[in-house]
Parts: sequence; C-alpha cells; structure tokens
Amino acid sequence: MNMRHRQAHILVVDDDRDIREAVVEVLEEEGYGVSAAGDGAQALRVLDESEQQPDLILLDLMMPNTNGFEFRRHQLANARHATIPVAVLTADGQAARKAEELQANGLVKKPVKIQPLLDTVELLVFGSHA
Amino acid sequence: MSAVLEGQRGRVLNVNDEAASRHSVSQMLRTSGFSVLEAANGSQGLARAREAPDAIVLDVRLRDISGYEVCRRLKAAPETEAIPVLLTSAPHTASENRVEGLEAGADGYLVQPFEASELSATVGALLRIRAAERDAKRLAGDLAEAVEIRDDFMSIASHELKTPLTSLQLQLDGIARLLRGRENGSESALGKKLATAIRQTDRLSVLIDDLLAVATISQGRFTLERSEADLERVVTEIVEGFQAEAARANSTLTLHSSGPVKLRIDPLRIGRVVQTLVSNAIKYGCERPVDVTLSHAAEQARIAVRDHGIGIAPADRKRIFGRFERAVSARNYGGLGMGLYISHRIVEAHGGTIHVEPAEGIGSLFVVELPTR
Ligand SMILES: Nc1ncnc2c1ncn2[C@@H]1O[C@H](COP(=O)(O)OP(=O)(O)OP(=O)(O)O)[C@@H](O)[C@H]1O
Ligand SMILES: [Mg+2]
Repeated sequence: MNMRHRQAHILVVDDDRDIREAVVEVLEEEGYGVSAAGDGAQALRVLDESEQQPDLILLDLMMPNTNGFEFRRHQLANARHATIPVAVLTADGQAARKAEELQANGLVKKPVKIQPLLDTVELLVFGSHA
Repeated sequence: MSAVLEGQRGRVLNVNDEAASRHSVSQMLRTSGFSVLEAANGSQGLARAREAPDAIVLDVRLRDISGYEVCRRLKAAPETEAIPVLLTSAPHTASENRVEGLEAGADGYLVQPFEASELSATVGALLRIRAAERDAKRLAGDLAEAVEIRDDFMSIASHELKTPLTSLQLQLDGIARLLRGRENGSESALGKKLATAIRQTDRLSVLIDDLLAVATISQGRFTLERSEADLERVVTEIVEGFQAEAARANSTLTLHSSGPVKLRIDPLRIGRVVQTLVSNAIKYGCERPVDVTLSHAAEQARIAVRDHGIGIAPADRKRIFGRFERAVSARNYGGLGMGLYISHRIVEAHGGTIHVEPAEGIGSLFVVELPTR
C-alpha cells in the first residue's frame, strides 16, 4: 500500500451497485479514502456535507434522477466544488466526445480493468505515475 | 379503339392554347382511358398542375409563357416536380428544340402529328416510370429507416452489454489479484480456470467494441483520437498479448522490428488493426508460424502480418474488407466478418492503406501502410 495515497480522497458516482462497490474496494485497497454515490443528486449531497473535498470524482454518465451531465452542471456552478477534477467513467460509445463536452479532466472507458483504472486515477490525483 | 374506361388509367392535364388541337389531344387521351383536365394557356396550366394530375401533356407553342418555360417552372416547384411532363410540338420540329425541351426537364417529347395509340403508349410509359421511381424511393426510405434503427439498436445494445461486462471484468480481475498474493496462486487449478474466464471476457469485450464500431461507422460518426505514439510499442503490446493464444494454437508468433516509430495515430484503433490481423493469422494459420514485421521509411510505416495457413483466393482479396464479408464457410470457422471491415476504415481514416499481397508459397500476407506525417 502506498503511503502517499492516505491523504487522497476519491468520490465514486455510479448507479450500478456492483461496479460502484468493485471500484470502491479497489481504490480502498490501494489506500485511497473513498466515498460513493448512486446518482448525481446523492453525489452533490456528499460534496455539500463532507468537510474534506475529494481530490477526484469518478463520474458515470447515464444514471437515474440526476445524470452525470446534470451533476457536472451543478458542480461547475458551485464555486466551492467547481475545481474538483472529474474523470468520466462510462460505457457510452461516444465517450471521448461526451467527456470533452463535459470539460472532464479524464476518461475511463467501460469495460475497464483494475490496473488501467488505477493508473488513470493516480495520474489525475498526483499528476504522474508512482 | 378499346374497351378501357375513361379515367381508369389516371388523370392527365392537357395544356394547349389552340382549341382544336387541344380538343383532339383530350379526345385521344379519353379514349385511351385517361380522364382529362384542360388548360388553355401556360399560366392556367401552371395553376391546374397543383390539382396533382398524374401526368401533363404540354404543347411548346404557348403564347403567354413558352412550353419550355412552363416545364422548367413545373420542375422547379416541389409540389409539381414529380409529375411527368410530355412535350408536344408542331410537325418538323428541329432536334435542337427537342433537346431544349428535355433539358427543361421534360420526361418525353412527341412531334405532331401523332396517333392516339402513340400518345397513349407514351403517357403510359411515363406513368410506369414514375410509379417505379416512387416505389424505389419508398423502398430506399424504408431501408434507410431500417438501417438507422439497426445502428441505434447496436449503439444502445453495446452500452447495455458493457455495463455487466464491466462488473464481470472487475470481479475477475479482483480475484486474480487476490490469487496473485498467494504462493503459486496463478499456477493453481483455480488460477488457470480464472485465466480462461478472463480471456473469454476479453473476447466478449472485443466483440462488443466491434458491434459499436460498425454502428458508428455507418452512422458516419466514426472519429479518431490521435496522439503522439510509438507504433513499435503498440505492435509489441498486441503481439505479446497474443503469445499465449498462439501457443494454444500450436503456432509461434514472432515480431521483427527495426526500432521505435513515432507517429500521430489513434493508438487504440491501430492496436485494434494489428489485433485483427494477428488473430486472423492465428485463426486461419493452420498451426504454422506467424510473423509480424514492422518497418519504416521516410514517408511510411509498414506493418506486415504473414501466416502459412489456408490463404485467400485472389478473387476474395478485396471483398473480405467489406462489412460482414467472409471467405470461409461458417461450418469451419466462426466469426462475424467485422474485423477487417473495421480495420480498413481505421487505416483509411489515418490516410493509410491495408491490403492482401500475393504471398509466396502458402498462406497470406496482410500489409498496413501508414503515412508518417
Ligand atoms: N490470415 C487469413 N488467412 C485466410 N483468410 C483470412 C485471413 N484473414 C482474414 N481472412 C478471410 O477474411 C474474412 C474476413 O475476416 P474478418 O477478420 O473481417 O472476419 P472473421 O475472421 O470472419 O470474423 P471476426 O469478425 O470474428 O474476426 C475471413 O472470414 C476469412 O475468410
Ligand atoms: Mg477475424
């Protein structure tokens, strides 16, 4: 386990419970602090209620209630949350275009394996691979 | 003449400003089974054309607006452009005038004097052509709609398939990591079964990607994500990833490379091309060695994949790059015929070429050439 992960915190937003839990578990094993939300509205609540801002949000796009696009609009409209980097986590066929549309900082295409997921997260959180 | 009922064959607008001639043409049309609308000059003709006749017989010598001009206007207006127009003119009309008429958009030309049978046959032919055009248009519309539905369906289906696959892959990957932590974990019976499960989900993942790529290509939404990349690294990674599969197929897979090749490409897509060629070389390679050669000149990088398997008949060498095209029997080899089609599109989008070269001896030689700038 890598010590410098201890301070880093990730918010995982995905409506598919199995995916969400698997991603949370992998990140926790890797030493990240992790919180999770099942849709955009929940994610906004997590942001509002937590004292420590996450260092990265992993964001699914197609979700019930508040989808990833709506979440991103609200996030950008709130000065306190606007600067948190977002990596889109999606099975969308036009993933790259949608990530750009969302002004996302990163993109993880589903299906994804553990190592590439961790590499992307690390790159976005620390700016380089360990 | 015959026993056809007036109006049974459709409605014809007869435009002619000479009363006698107009009456005689109307009479001929009626006895041939058409009902007739009449117009006594060009502007009246244009007005009555909006009553949607099935065809228009239009005399070229009109005093208010020339028949050619009437024809041009009919063909320029969306509500009348589809109505066939038969121009009629005085005896001994020069061929230039007929050409002018046809250039004005007329569908046919008859020179006076003509008989009822000739007029009837000509109008009948124009109506048949128009009906066939309408059918073709409708079919094309239905087809386009069906294709659109299919492509939308494939996009959605691939999204829906990817979601459970993501879960599955993360779980399998997680198990593999747990197992790796144990002594001899990967070598155990469980480790082997797990490796197979991972390999099969990878296959599923490629299939889903292919379905999506085919849909994206036919929707015209296929785009590259280019970046600076080393082609040697892309090819090496794919070749290494196929070593196990080659071994399982009792084949050997060797990469010959002359060093790094820095290019602005879509590395994932080019990787997909190499993957297609290597997997085909193993699949159709009859357990014999497969060689991948990467080389580059000033203007071009070249990837060659050579096998010694069943080969490809000269007649099939172009066809296999088409969508769902295959040159083997489905009784012998499974497959959807998407790999080479997608690869062709990917290489084309990079401004390069992909083709089969006649190979010496048995087997096939696939060559991809990519411009270096
Ligand atoms: N190395 C090869 N040797 C002989 N025939 C080949 C080779 N590569 C391709 N072909 C022929 O070209 C056809 C199209 O290949 P392609 O990879 O597009 O589809 P496929 O292998 O049939 O199916 P899949 O979509 O599963 O890959 C094959 O069906 C086969 O007939
Ligand atoms: Mg194939």
